[in-house]
Amino acid sequence: MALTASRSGPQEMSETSVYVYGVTWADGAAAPPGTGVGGGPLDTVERGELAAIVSTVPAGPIRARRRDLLRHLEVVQEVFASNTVLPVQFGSVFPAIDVVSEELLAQRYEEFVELLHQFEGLAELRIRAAYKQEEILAEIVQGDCGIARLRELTRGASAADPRQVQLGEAVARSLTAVRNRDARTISGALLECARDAVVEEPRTEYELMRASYLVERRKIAGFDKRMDTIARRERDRISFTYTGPLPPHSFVSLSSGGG
Amino acid sequence: MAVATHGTASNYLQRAPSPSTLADVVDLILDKGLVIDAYVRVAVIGIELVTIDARIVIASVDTYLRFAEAVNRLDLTTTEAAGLAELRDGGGNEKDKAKGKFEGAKEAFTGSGKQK
Repeated sequence: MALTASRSGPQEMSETSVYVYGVTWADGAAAPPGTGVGGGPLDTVERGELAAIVSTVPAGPIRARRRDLLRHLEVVQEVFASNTVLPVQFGSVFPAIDVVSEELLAQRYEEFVELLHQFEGLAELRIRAAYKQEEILAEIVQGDCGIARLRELTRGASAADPRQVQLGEAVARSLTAVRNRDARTISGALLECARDAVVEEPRTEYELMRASYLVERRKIAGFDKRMDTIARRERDRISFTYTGPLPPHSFVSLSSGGG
Repeated sequence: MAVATHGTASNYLQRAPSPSTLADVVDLILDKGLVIDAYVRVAVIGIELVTIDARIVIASVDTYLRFAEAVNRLDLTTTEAAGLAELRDGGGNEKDKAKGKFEGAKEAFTGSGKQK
Protein backbone atom coordinates (compact mmCIF):
# COMPACT_ATOMS: atom_id res chain seq x y z
CA MET A 1 0.00 0.00 0.00
CA ALA A 2 1.79 2.97 -1.33
CA LEU A 3 1.09 6.46 -0.20
CA THR A 4 0.89 8.97 -2.99
CA ALA A 5 0.86 12.70 -2.79
CA SER A 6 -2.82 12.92 -3.64
CA ARG A 7 -3.77 10.48 -0.92
CA SER A 8 -1.64 11.89 1.82
CA GLY A 9 -3.74 13.32 4.56
CA PRO A 10 -3.63 16.72 6.12
CA GLN A 11 -0.10 17.61 7.06
CA GLU A 12 0.89 17.83 10.62
CA MET A 13 4.23 19.33 9.84
CA SER A 14 5.30 20.01 13.33
CA GLU A 15 4.50 16.53 14.66
CA THR A 16 6.19 14.11 12.31
CA SER A 17 8.64 13.96 9.43
CA VAL A 18 9.32 11.44 6.69
CA TYR A 19 12.58 9.53 6.81
CA VAL A 20 13.93 8.27 3.46
CA TYR A 21 15.98 5.05 3.15
CA GLY A 22 16.40 4.68 -0.57
CA VAL A 23 14.94 5.00 -4.04
CA THR A 24 13.88 1.93 -6.00
CA TRP A 25 11.65 0.79 -8.88
CA ALA A 26 7.95 1.12 -8.03
CA ASP A 27 7.37 -2.15 -9.86
CA GLY A 28 7.91 -4.76 -7.17
CA ALA A 29 8.59 -2.22 -4.47
CA ALA A 30 7.28 -3.21 -1.10
CA ALA A 31 8.10 -1.72 2.24
CA PRO A 32 9.84 -4.31 4.40
CA PRO A 33 7.72 -5.55 7.29
CA GLY A 34 8.20 -4.07 10.73
CA THR A 35 9.16 -0.62 11.85
CA GLY A 36 11.88 1.75 10.77
CA VAL A 37 14.27 4.22 12.35
CA GLY A 38 12.69 5.59 15.50
CA GLY A 39 9.93 2.95 15.52
CA GLY A 40 7.49 4.30 12.91
CA PRO A 41 5.90 2.00 10.28
CA LEU A 42 7.65 1.57 6.92
CA ASP A 43 5.95 2.52 3.69
CA THR A 44 6.57 3.49 0.09
CA VAL A 45 5.98 6.76 -1.74
CA GLU A 46 5.47 6.15 -5.45
CA ARG A 47 5.82 8.44 -8.41
CA GLY A 48 5.71 6.99 -11.92
CA GLU A 49 8.27 4.23 -12.16
CA LEU A 50 9.95 5.27 -8.92
CA ALA A 51 9.35 4.52 -5.27
CA ALA A 52 10.99 5.89 -2.16
CA ILE A 53 11.17 3.65 0.89
CA VAL A 54 10.14 5.78 3.86
CA SER A 55 8.95 5.74 7.44
CA THR A 56 7.45 8.25 9.81
CA VAL A 57 9.73 9.75 12.42
CA PRO A 58 9.10 12.34 15.11
CA ALA A 59 10.03 15.82 13.91
CA GLY A 60 13.39 17.08 15.10
CA PRO A 61 16.94 15.84 15.02
CA ILE A 62 17.63 12.17 14.48
CA ARG A 63 19.50 10.38 17.21
CA ALA A 64 21.97 7.96 15.77
CA ARG A 65 21.23 5.20 18.20
CA ARG A 66 22.78 1.84 17.59
CA ARG A 67 19.50 0.13 16.73
CA ASP A 68 18.50 2.91 14.35
CA LEU A 69 21.79 2.74 12.46
CA LEU A 70 21.38 -1.02 12.17
CA ARG A 71 17.74 -0.71 11.18
CA HIS A 72 18.52 1.79 8.40
CA LEU A 73 21.02 -0.66 6.94
CA GLU A 74 18.65 -3.63 7.31
CA VAL A 75 15.79 -1.85 5.54
CA VAL A 76 17.98 -0.99 2.57
CA GLN A 77 19.36 -4.54 2.50
CA GLU A 78 15.86 -6.04 2.53
CA VAL A 79 14.77 -3.93 -0.42
CA PHE A 80 18.02 -4.79 -2.20
CA ALA A 81 17.31 -8.52 -1.86
CA SER A 82 14.60 -8.29 -4.53
CA ASN A 83 15.00 -4.94 -6.29
CA THR A 84 17.60 -2.45 -7.46
CA VAL A 85 17.99 0.26 -4.84
CA LEU A 86 19.86 3.53 -4.52
CA PRO A 87 20.76 3.84 -0.82
CA VAL A 88 20.30 7.25 0.77
CA GLN A 89 22.58 8.55 3.50
CA PHE A 90 21.45 7.97 7.09
CA GLY A 91 19.37 10.78 8.56
CA SER A 92 17.71 12.26 5.46
CA VAL A 93 14.34 13.61 6.50
CA PHE A 94 11.54 15.44 4.65
CA PRO A 95 8.67 17.36 6.22
CA ALA A 96 5.86 15.37 4.56
CA ILE A 97 4.96 12.62 2.09
CA ASP A 98 4.06 15.01 -0.73
CA VAL A 99 7.39 16.75 -0.35
CA VAL A 100 9.15 13.42 -0.94
CA SER A 101 7.05 12.94 -4.05
CA GLU A 102 7.24 16.47 -5.43
CA GLU A 103 10.65 17.62 -4.41
CA LEU A 104 12.69 14.44 -4.29
CA LEU A 105 11.23 12.00 -6.82
CA ALA A 106 9.79 14.50 -9.32
CA GLN A 107 12.72 16.88 -9.37
CA ARG A 108 15.35 14.17 -9.81
CA TYR A 109 13.14 11.80 -11.78
CA GLU A 110 15.28 11.30 -14.90
CA GLU A 111 18.45 11.04 -12.88
CA PHE A 112 17.05 8.37 -10.55
CA VAL A 113 15.76 6.34 -13.50
CA GLU A 114 19.14 6.49 -15.14
CA LEU A 115 20.94 5.49 -11.93
CA LEU A 116 18.58 2.58 -11.32
CA HIS A 117 19.29 1.29 -14.83
CA GLN A 118 22.99 1.79 -14.27
CA PHE A 119 23.07 -0.29 -11.07
CA GLU A 120 20.70 -3.02 -12.26
CA GLY A 121 22.11 -6.42 -11.32
CA LEU A 122 25.16 -4.94 -9.57
CA ALA A 123 26.32 -5.26 -5.98
CA GLU A 124 28.98 -3.71 -3.79
CA LEU A 125 31.54 -6.01 -2.17
CA ARG A 126 33.58 -4.38 0.54
CA ILE A 127 37.04 -5.27 1.73
CA ARG A 128 39.17 -4.17 4.63
CA ALA A 129 42.66 -5.50 5.02
CA ALA A 130 45.09 -4.96 7.87
CA TYR A 131 48.55 -6.26 8.52
CA LYS A 132 49.12 -8.56 11.45
CA GLN A 133 51.31 -6.25 13.49
CA GLU A 134 54.06 -8.57 14.70
CA GLU A 135 54.34 -10.40 11.42
CA ILE A 136 54.69 -7.29 9.29
CA LEU A 137 57.15 -5.66 11.69
CA ALA A 138 59.27 -8.81 11.74
CA GLU A 139 59.19 -8.83 7.96
CA ILE A 140 60.35 -5.22 7.87
CA VAL A 141 63.15 -5.69 10.39
CA GLN A 142 64.39 -8.84 8.72
CA GLY A 143 64.15 -7.38 5.26
CA ASP A 144 66.22 -4.27 5.96
CA CYS A 145 69.72 -4.44 7.46
CA GLY A 146 69.66 -0.75 8.34
CA ILE A 147 66.50 -1.14 10.39
CA ALA A 148 67.77 -4.33 12.01
CA ARG A 149 70.99 -2.57 13.06
CA LEU A 150 69.16 0.48 14.40
CA ARG A 151 66.92 -1.81 16.38
CA GLU A 152 69.88 -3.52 18.01
CA LEU A 153 71.34 -0.12 18.90
CA THR A 154 68.15 1.24 20.44
CA ARG A 155 66.81 -1.80 22.25
CA GLY A 156 68.24 -0.81 25.58
CA ALA A 157 68.07 2.91 24.93
CA SER A 158 65.54 5.26 26.48
CA ALA A 159 62.52 6.58 24.63
CA ALA A 160 64.21 10.00 24.58
CA ASP A 161 67.09 8.69 22.49
CA PRO A 162 66.84 10.46 19.11
CA ARG A 163 67.70 7.21 17.39
CA GLN A 164 64.24 5.91 18.40
CA VAL A 165 62.60 8.48 16.15
CA GLN A 166 65.05 7.59 13.43
CA LEU A 167 64.16 3.91 13.79
CA GLY A 168 60.42 4.60 13.79
CA GLU A 169 60.71 6.81 10.76
CA ALA A 170 62.58 4.10 8.87
CA VAL A 171 59.94 1.55 9.84
CA ALA A 172 57.15 3.91 8.74
CA ARG A 173 58.86 4.48 5.40
CA SER A 174 59.34 0.79 4.85
CA LEU A 175 55.75 0.01 5.88
CA THR A 176 54.43 2.58 3.41
CA ALA A 177 56.43 0.98 0.63
CA VAL A 178 55.23 -2.52 1.53
CA ARG A 179 51.67 -1.26 1.83
CA ASN A 180 51.71 0.46 -1.55
CA ARG A 181 53.09 -2.64 -3.21
CA ASP A 182 50.60 -5.02 -1.56
CA ALA A 183 47.62 -2.72 -2.11
CA ARG A 184 48.49 -2.38 -5.78
CA THR A 185 48.82 -6.14 -6.22
CA ILE A 186 45.62 -6.99 -4.34
CA SER A 187 43.38 -4.30 -5.77
CA GLY A 188 44.69 -5.01 -9.26
CA ALA A 189 43.79 -8.69 -8.94
CA LEU A 190 40.32 -7.84 -7.60
CA LEU A 191 39.57 -5.19 -10.19
CA GLU A 192 39.92 -7.84 -12.89
CA CYS A 193 36.73 -9.38 -11.46
CA ALA A 194 34.82 -6.11 -10.99
CA ARG A 195 33.17 -3.32 -12.98
CA ASP A 196 34.46 -0.52 -10.81
CA ALA A 197 36.27 0.15 -7.54
CA VAL A 198 36.54 2.81 -4.88
CA VAL A 199 39.75 2.59 -2.90
CA GLU A 200 39.92 4.68 0.27
CA GLU A 201 42.91 5.88 2.26
CA PRO A 202 43.97 3.57 5.08
CA ARG A 203 42.93 4.98 8.44
CA THR A 204 45.15 3.28 10.94
CA GLU A 205 48.83 2.47 11.14
CA TYR A 206 48.50 -1.16 10.19
CA GLU A 207 45.56 -0.88 7.82
CA LEU A 208 46.52 -1.84 4.30
CA MET A 209 43.42 -1.16 2.29
CA ARG A 210 39.77 -0.26 2.54
CA ALA A 211 37.95 -0.62 -0.73
CA SER A 212 34.66 -1.41 -2.41
CA TYR A 213 34.16 -3.26 -5.67
CA LEU A 214 31.15 -3.08 -7.93
CA VAL A 215 30.43 -6.58 -9.16
CA GLU A 216 27.71 -8.18 -11.26
CA ARG A 217 25.60 -10.22 -8.88
CA ARG A 218 25.89 -13.32 -11.05
CA LYS A 219 29.67 -13.02 -10.97
CA ILE A 220 30.03 -12.80 -7.21
CA ALA A 221 31.16 -16.43 -7.00
CA GLY A 222 34.11 -15.61 -9.24
CA PHE A 223 35.04 -12.62 -7.10
CA ASP A 224 34.76 -14.82 -3.98
CA LYS A 225 37.19 -17.25 -5.48
CA ARG A 226 39.72 -14.55 -6.32
CA MET A 227 39.35 -13.05 -2.85
CA ASP A 228 39.78 -16.45 -1.24
CA THR A 229 42.98 -17.11 -3.17
CA ILE A 230 44.41 -13.77 -2.04
CA ALA A 231 43.43 -14.25 1.60
CA ARG A 232 44.91 -17.72 1.64
CA ARG A 233 48.16 -16.59 0.06
CA GLU A 234 48.51 -13.70 2.53
CA ARG A 235 47.15 -15.47 5.61
CA ASP A 236 50.37 -15.22 7.62
CA ARG A 237 50.62 -11.44 7.38
CA ILE A 238 47.26 -9.90 6.44
CA SER A 239 43.78 -10.30 7.89
CA PHE A 240 40.77 -9.51 5.76
CA THR A 241 37.17 -8.50 6.38
CA TYR A 242 34.94 -9.25 3.43
CA THR A 243 31.35 -8.01 3.29
CA GLY A 244 28.50 -8.15 0.80
CA PRO A 245 26.61 -8.23 -1.42
CA LEU A 246 25.52 -4.73 -0.44
CA PRO A 247 23.56 -2.09 -2.35
CA PRO A 248 25.97 0.30 -4.09
CA HIS A 249 26.52 2.66 -1.12
CA SER A 250 30.00 3.68 -2.26
CA PHE A 251 29.12 4.17 -5.91
CA VAL A 252 25.94 6.26 -5.96
CA SER A 253 25.98 10.01 -6.21
CA LEU A 254 23.74 12.74 -7.55
CA SER A 255 24.81 15.62 -9.73
CA SER A 256 25.11 18.82 -7.76
CA GLY A 257 22.28 21.33 -7.88
CA GLY A 258 18.80 20.36 -9.01
CA GLY A 259 17.44 20.57 -5.48
CA MET B 1 20.58 -17.83 8.84
CA ALA B 2 23.52 -19.41 7.12
CA VAL B 3 25.74 -17.16 5.10
CA ALA B 4 25.69 -17.88 1.39
CA THR B 5 29.35 -18.25 0.63
CA HIS B 6 29.05 -20.28 -2.55
CA GLY B 7 31.36 -22.93 -1.36
CA THR B 8 32.40 -25.47 1.12
CA ALA B 9 34.10 -25.39 4.45
CA SER B 10 37.40 -25.31 2.58
CA ASN B 11 36.83 -21.64 1.79
CA TYR B 12 39.49 -19.73 3.65
CA LEU B 13 37.73 -16.38 3.88
CA GLN B 14 34.03 -16.15 4.69
CA ARG B 15 32.02 -13.31 3.23
CA ALA B 16 29.64 -11.71 5.73
CA PRO B 17 26.30 -10.50 4.33
CA SER B 18 26.47 -7.22 6.23
CA PRO B 19 28.99 -5.27 8.33
CA SER B 20 29.70 -6.82 11.69
CA THR B 21 30.78 -3.79 13.71
CA LEU B 22 28.97 -0.56 14.39
CA ALA B 23 31.94 1.40 13.05
CA ASP B 24 31.59 -0.42 9.74
CA VAL B 25 27.85 0.28 9.65
CA VAL B 26 28.47 3.96 10.27
CA ASP B 27 31.19 3.95 7.65
CA LEU B 28 28.71 2.64 5.11
CA ILE B 29 25.54 4.63 5.81
CA LEU B 30 26.85 7.95 7.14
CA ASP B 31 29.87 8.50 4.93
CA LYS B 32 28.29 7.03 1.80
CA GLY B 33 24.99 6.78 -0.04
CA LEU B 34 23.03 9.43 -1.87
CA VAL B 35 23.26 12.84 -0.30
CA ILE B 36 19.96 14.49 -1.11
CA ASP B 37 18.75 17.94 -0.39
CA ALA B 38 16.76 16.86 2.58
CA TYR B 39 15.08 19.31 4.89
CA VAL B 40 16.74 17.88 7.93
CA ARG B 41 20.33 16.99 7.50
CA VAL B 42 21.11 14.72 10.36
CA ALA B 43 21.70 16.48 13.57
CA VAL B 44 23.09 13.14 14.50
CA ILE B 45 23.79 12.86 18.15
CA GLY B 46 26.22 10.40 19.62
CA ILE B 47 28.08 9.54 16.46
CA GLU B 48 31.43 10.84 17.65
CA LEU B 49 31.61 7.86 19.96
CA VAL B 50 31.45 5.26 17.25
CA THR B 51 33.47 6.99 14.58
CA ILE B 52 36.55 7.44 16.68
CA ASP B 53 38.40 5.45 14.17
CA ALA B 54 41.04 8.10 14.44
CA ARG B 55 42.68 8.70 11.17
CA ILE B 56 46.30 8.33 12.00
CA VAL B 57 48.87 10.66 10.57
CA ILE B 58 51.63 8.27 9.63
CA ALA B 59 54.28 10.98 9.41
CA SER B 60 54.40 12.14 13.00
CA VAL B 61 56.91 11.77 15.79
CA ASP B 62 54.25 10.05 17.91
CA THR B 63 53.75 7.40 15.28
CA TYR B 64 57.48 6.97 14.85
CA LEU B 65 57.93 6.39 18.56
CA ARG B 66 55.13 3.86 18.58
CA PHE B 67 56.72 2.00 15.68
CA ALA B 68 60.12 2.06 17.39
CA GLU B 69 58.63 0.70 20.59
CA ALA B 70 56.72 -2.04 18.76
CA VAL B 71 59.79 -3.05 16.81
CA ASN B 72 61.93 -3.10 19.95
CA ARG B 73 59.37 -5.30 21.67
CA LEU B 74 59.49 -7.91 18.90
CA ASP B 75 60.90 -11.27 19.78
CA LEU B 76 62.60 -12.41 16.64
CA THR B 77 64.56 -15.32 18.09
CA THR B 78 62.05 -17.94 17.04
CA THR B 79 61.44 -16.63 13.56
CA GLU B 80 64.91 -15.39 12.76
CA ALA B 81 66.34 -18.53 11.17
CA ALA B 82 63.35 -19.44 9.03
CA GLY B 83 62.34 -15.88 8.46
CA LEU B 84 65.56 -14.59 6.97
CA ALA B 85 65.80 -17.20 4.25
CA GLU B 86 62.12 -16.91 3.44
CA LEU B 87 62.21 -13.15 3.29
CA ARG B 88 65.16 -13.06 1.00
CA ASP B 89 63.15 -15.07 -1.53
CA GLY B 90 59.92 -13.27 -0.91
CA GLY B 91 61.54 -9.83 -1.11
CA GLY B 92 58.78 -8.63 -3.35
CA ASN B 93 59.79 -9.05 -6.95
CA GLU B 94 56.87 -9.66 -9.24
CA LYS B 95 57.93 -13.12 -10.37
CA ASP B 96 57.86 -14.39 -6.82
CA LYS B 97 54.50 -12.78 -6.27
CA ALA B 98 53.03 -14.56 -9.26
CA LYS B 99 54.55 -17.83 -8.13
CA GLY B 100 53.04 -17.35 -4.71
CA LYS B 101 49.66 -16.83 -6.23
CA PHE B 102 49.77 -20.10 -8.14
CA GLU B 103 50.97 -21.99 -5.14
CA GLY B 104 48.14 -20.48 -3.16
CA ALA B 105 45.66 -21.64 -5.75
CA LYS B 106 47.17 -25.10 -5.80
CA GLU B 107 46.89 -25.33 -2.07
CA ALA B 108 43.26 -24.39 -2.29
CA PHE B 109 42.59 -27.51 -4.30
CA THR B 110 44.80 -29.93 -2.44
CA GLY B 111 43.57 -29.03 1.00
CA SER B 112 45.61 -28.06 4.02
CA GLY B 113 49.32 -27.55 3.53
CA LYS B 114 51.79 -30.07 4.86
CA GLN B 115 54.21 -29.25 7.62
CA LYS B 116 57.80 -29.29 6.49
